[in-house]
Amino acid sequence: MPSRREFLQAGLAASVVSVVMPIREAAGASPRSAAAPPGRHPLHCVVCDMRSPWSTDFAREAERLGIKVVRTNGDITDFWFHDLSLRWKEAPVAIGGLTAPGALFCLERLGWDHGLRVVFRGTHRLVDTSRAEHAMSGPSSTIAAAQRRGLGGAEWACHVARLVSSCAVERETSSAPLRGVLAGSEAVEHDRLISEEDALTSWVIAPKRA
Amino acid sequence: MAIPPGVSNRDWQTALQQFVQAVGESGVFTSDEDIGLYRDAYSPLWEEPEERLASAAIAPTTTEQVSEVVRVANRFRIPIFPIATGRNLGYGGSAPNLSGSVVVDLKRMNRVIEVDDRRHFAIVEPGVSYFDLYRHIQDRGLKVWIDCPDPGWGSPLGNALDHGVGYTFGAYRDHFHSHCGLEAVLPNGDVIRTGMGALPGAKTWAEYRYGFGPTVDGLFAQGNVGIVTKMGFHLLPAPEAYQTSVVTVPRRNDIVPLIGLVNELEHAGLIGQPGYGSPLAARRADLEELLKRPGGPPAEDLDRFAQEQKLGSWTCRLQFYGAPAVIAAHIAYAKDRFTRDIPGATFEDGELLRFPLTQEQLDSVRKVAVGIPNLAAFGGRRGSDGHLWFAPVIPKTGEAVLEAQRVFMDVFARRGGPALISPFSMPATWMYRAFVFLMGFPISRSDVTVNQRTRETMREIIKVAAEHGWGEYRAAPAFQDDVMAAYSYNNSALLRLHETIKDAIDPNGIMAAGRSGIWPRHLRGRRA
Repeated sequence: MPSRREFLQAGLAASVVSVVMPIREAAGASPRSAAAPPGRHPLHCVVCDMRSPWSTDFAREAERLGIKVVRTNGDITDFWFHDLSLRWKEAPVAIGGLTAPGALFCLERLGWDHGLRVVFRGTHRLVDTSRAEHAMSGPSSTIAAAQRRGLGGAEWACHVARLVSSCAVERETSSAPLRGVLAGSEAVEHDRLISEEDALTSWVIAPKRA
Repeated sequence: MAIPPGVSNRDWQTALQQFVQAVGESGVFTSDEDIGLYRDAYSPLWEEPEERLASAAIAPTTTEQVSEVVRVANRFRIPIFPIATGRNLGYGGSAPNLSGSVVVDLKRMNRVIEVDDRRHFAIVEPGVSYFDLYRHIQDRGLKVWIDCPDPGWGSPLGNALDHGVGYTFGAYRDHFHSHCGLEAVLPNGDVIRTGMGALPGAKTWAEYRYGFGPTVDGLFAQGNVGIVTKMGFHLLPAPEAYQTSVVTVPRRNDIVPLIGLVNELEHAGLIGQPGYGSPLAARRADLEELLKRPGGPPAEDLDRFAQEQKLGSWTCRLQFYGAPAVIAAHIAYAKDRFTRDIPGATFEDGELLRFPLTQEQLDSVRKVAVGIPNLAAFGGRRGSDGHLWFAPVIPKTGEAVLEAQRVFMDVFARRGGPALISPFSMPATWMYRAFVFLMGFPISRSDVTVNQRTRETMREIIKVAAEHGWGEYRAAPAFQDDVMAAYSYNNSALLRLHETIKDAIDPNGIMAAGRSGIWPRHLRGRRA
């Protein structure tokens, strides 16, 4: 008999959907709503937490990729009330983000009511001024891409933006811990450290597969 | 997929078919993935064998469908557990008391039936959220306010039925108290309307709550004799303006006259929800030695520290609503009373906010205080696996607050580990006529010992509270038996009455078995 954790993992596997946001915009291009390739969902937007320099990096990269960016101070109320709740009443469009855990907690549950599920989830923290730790679960090929590319260097949040924007379309899921050494000899600024309790989370919420 | 307890596989399969006939294929959920969504995200039993889990979920869209679902459940004696939106985190979420129950998820019943801003009421279905009702009012420019909890993503109907509370004015904060009339499906599938709603064609269903004869509405709140499918609410007429004034008093023992005066102002209708605090709470590190003293820190030492640091001992944020001239008069009166009765009281007035607010004012105002639902409670930087609320009701006096601090701090001292309160902790003030000395116990999804410890402490502190005459107003399913056991006057006469009613109205015991510690006869005396 499968355990509850296995139930949930199985649930994640069953809910993986097409979420692809191809890299096609040149730097400096203005964000616009993306037309998805056939059979694939575009991201309506990504959500960022401007209190975090890493999430700010993520936002900048997402914008460079042509994805609409919603900037928050951690509170998603305005985004929910004025944008997403109206959008999801029309259709369950996919969204992504790099935020504090509370924003995902809310959006995941609000998404359930509209037939959406979290299909990609990562946690990210900087254990000291030179090392980052990441744990990710989601579509196997997305996880494999993360492993191939790695999340080393001070640009890791930009890499995560690219992973989120190109989240793979498949049922099979996997998970992986990743460690990254931040680039160069210069340590990151103190305000960029993320403790275990403050861990950022990256995510994609997308329509449940029929 | 689990099968409800006491139900054969054959009956279960037949019942599922009949549930599908009642609500359609898209309204019946049996996959493990879907059922997993109804787990209590803050369960104190996470991943343990005793975790309360549903077997299936059914999402009707009309009262008629609810009625048919209940009839099917009764036919096959399938335990069902209704939820509105299931957002009462810290008090159980959407998980049932009895594992294997079928969740009747009412989110799809999401119609705002009526809002009237001349007679100041609303009638809603269970799936309407505070956001939905707020939007309905704003889109139409209606001159009424809602009173919402924090966070505001739940259901007014569901929150009221769980005795939920809010942040604005007077009795509107007590959400069940502000309800007026309801529609419910009984365990036999019969549909009733209470109050004036029992009169066909009634014109005042959401205005006069009693109708004629005994009132039964209370049986449906924290109860298990039916599924509420509509509910009326009295709404606050939108005030012209809002202003706060924070009063600070210098001495520790000033808490007694402070609370006494605030009670007068509040019960006379001059202020909305008061908010107490202590400036010394942020200086605990400086007071470490004093706080370690047996029996607690002497008041005179704390007073000396507060005076040296030019801090007050206690504060109270007073909230004024109404026309600007009325607010000014009320603030002047309040200041006069505090100045006369508490030497050294000082005041800091907030900006007078006239409605509608500017965007800048909207961004800075405490939203729940002006009836705006929000999710800011989840906006912190830190993640958490959740919390479990301990919510004892204590008298609205300074003496009671100081006693509760001592009693509960003793529990933590005896058990070891970090205390959830300090000599500067103040109770929550949502209730109009009582305080709630709220504490959030930690929950872990990865460390079972944290949850075990939380459960042990909860069970002990519930008993200690009861020994002092304090009972909880609300509790998660894992502790509802403990809380109900504390309400034991005259050999638990109240529980025995509840059980008599339960047996009469729900003889098969299908409805929300175990809610509030009220179990059907065949499950009585055992825990789920």
